[in-house]
Amino acid sequence: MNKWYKLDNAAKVFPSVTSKRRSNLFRLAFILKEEIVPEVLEKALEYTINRFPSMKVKIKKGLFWYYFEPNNEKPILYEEDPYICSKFNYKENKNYLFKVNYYYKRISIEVFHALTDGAGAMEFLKALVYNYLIMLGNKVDSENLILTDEIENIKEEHQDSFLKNYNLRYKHKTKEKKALQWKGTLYQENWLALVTGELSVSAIKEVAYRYDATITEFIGACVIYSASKSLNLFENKHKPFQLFVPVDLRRLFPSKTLRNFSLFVRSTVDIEKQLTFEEVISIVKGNIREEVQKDKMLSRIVKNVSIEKNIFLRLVPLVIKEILLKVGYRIQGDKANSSSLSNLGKVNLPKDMRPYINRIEFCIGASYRAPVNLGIVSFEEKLVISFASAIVERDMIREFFRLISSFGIEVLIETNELEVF
Amino acid sequence: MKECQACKILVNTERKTCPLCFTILKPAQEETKEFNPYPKYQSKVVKYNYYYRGIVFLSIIAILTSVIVNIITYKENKNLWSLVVIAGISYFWILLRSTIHGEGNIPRRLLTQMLMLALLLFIIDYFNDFLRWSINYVIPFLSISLTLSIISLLVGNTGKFKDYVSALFASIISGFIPFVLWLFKIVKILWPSLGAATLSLVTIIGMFIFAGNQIKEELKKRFHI
Repeated sequence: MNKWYKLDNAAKVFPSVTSKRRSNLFRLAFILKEEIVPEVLEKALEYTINRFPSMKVKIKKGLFWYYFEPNNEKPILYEEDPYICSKFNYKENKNYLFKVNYYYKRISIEVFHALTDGAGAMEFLKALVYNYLIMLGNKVDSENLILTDEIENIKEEHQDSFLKNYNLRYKHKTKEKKALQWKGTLYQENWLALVTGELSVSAIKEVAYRYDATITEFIGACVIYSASKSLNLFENKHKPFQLFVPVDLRRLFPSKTLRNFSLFVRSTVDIEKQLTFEEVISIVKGNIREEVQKDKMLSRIVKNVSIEKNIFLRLVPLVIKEILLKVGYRIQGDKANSSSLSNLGKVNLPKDMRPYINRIEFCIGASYRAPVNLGIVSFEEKLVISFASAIVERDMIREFFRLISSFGIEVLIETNELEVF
Repeated sequence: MKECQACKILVNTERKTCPLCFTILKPAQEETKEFNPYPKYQSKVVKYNYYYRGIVFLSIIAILTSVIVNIITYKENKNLWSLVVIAGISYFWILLRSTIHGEGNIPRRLLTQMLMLALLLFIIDYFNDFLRWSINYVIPFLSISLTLSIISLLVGNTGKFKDYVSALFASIISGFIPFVLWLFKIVKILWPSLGAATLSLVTIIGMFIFAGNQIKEELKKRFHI
């Protein structure tokens, strides 16, 4: 694409509310079965980026809004940094808003949320790994599951699907409730601890079905239940624990966009009451099922887009807008969440590609306000739950994995050396 | 692979204790440990650059000393000469931080450089009997040289037009200022100001003839609401 374009509705807020303590980055990783050859990966990256014009951009400041402009530089391939999802300097990264890293057998990508959401970045990473495997001399049939050069780049891929689904008929008012906040010891130097747990998809599915729940609902309930077992980590106030669960809107509204197209639902549980696990899971199920409905989602879209369409806000210069957004985000955005749980679901890869991949990981960065978040993704029989923690205490994560294993599910833990601080 | 018997989990690590509960790990049956899952932690504390900090310190001392001496001796010599010292030191820092180590593109850095140089020379002129040499001659010529250098950069690389256009516009505006000041009888000598204004006018016309569409596109982009 030779033209510039506006940031999508969800992306508009991110550039203004990003700092070292809140990087707004998320991370996806493929772990292969062989060690990565950086020279080949570098070539694959250089090649793949051309198929994804919506990623091949730099961010610019206009008088009223930010905008994206095509970036003609070659993206840099990095050896993985021990600091996970830490804010990077775009200028030093050839103005790209994402970073591709390799470490031993892993290819990972850290993406700034203004660019795209998890599903969009997954498409890019899939294509990158596919091209990498091809360049290594393997024969891989893409089976129409990978965005290759043969599949033409259509305009819908860079569409702002929020705007497309804007329909004033669905105008509703929703009110944000304040959520319980954490009070842990923050790591120094914005270090993020990562704890990943690998478990079997069929085992967790079986347990979740026992409670008549989906995997997301089951894991959500486990998170909230383990939070209720670690009350010492939270401020002593009568507020509910609110779990923020992003929803990929492409599943509800047909769209091929590679930019942001997700919203969220919240599950609200009063953890001070020390409910039983059965009680927690029935609340979580109720919350999520009530919220994930086309009508409710549409009214959220309308609410968000109408803010963007407000002529008074549009005419405010960007400098002032940034201040307003920063203050507004402090008051509103942060206080409604205790933790986030993002489930990317099952990754579907072409048959020829599967033997080369060991597992896939997904984690969302944490900030000083919402210090413990988790990302979930599954590939074949392996489901990986990744906790990112900005605080030293890991009581809740421990309770969580103990709870999972108490259901008879075997868990394999990996961490990025938590004891440092 | 190791096992934590308290948490009932498997752990892939080199460490001796469980990362979740710190009890000692037992080796698990299958020995499939492959590699350290993550790169090792390294501190990111930035080391002080003492040479650089030395210059900062000296600058502050120089400014403080001259301001204090200026205040004490103000009765005998009614001249705020310490402002010239402050302007000089500030100019030095702009030169170091923006022109030499700056992040922006070359025209933008030249623009900052030119504005700061103009300000410095104006201050020197103003506090030395205000003979108006700065606004009569120096500023128009600075503006001319800025516009000419941006144009020559553009001729060398026309693809950079959209990156350079904002600096070029600012430079064109700066070319008109001395002439406007002449209209208000602040600038006394016409020919340098008229020269700068003419060059600005010619540049505008040239821009619209050679890159009218690009300018339109650029304006749309930067001012979209």
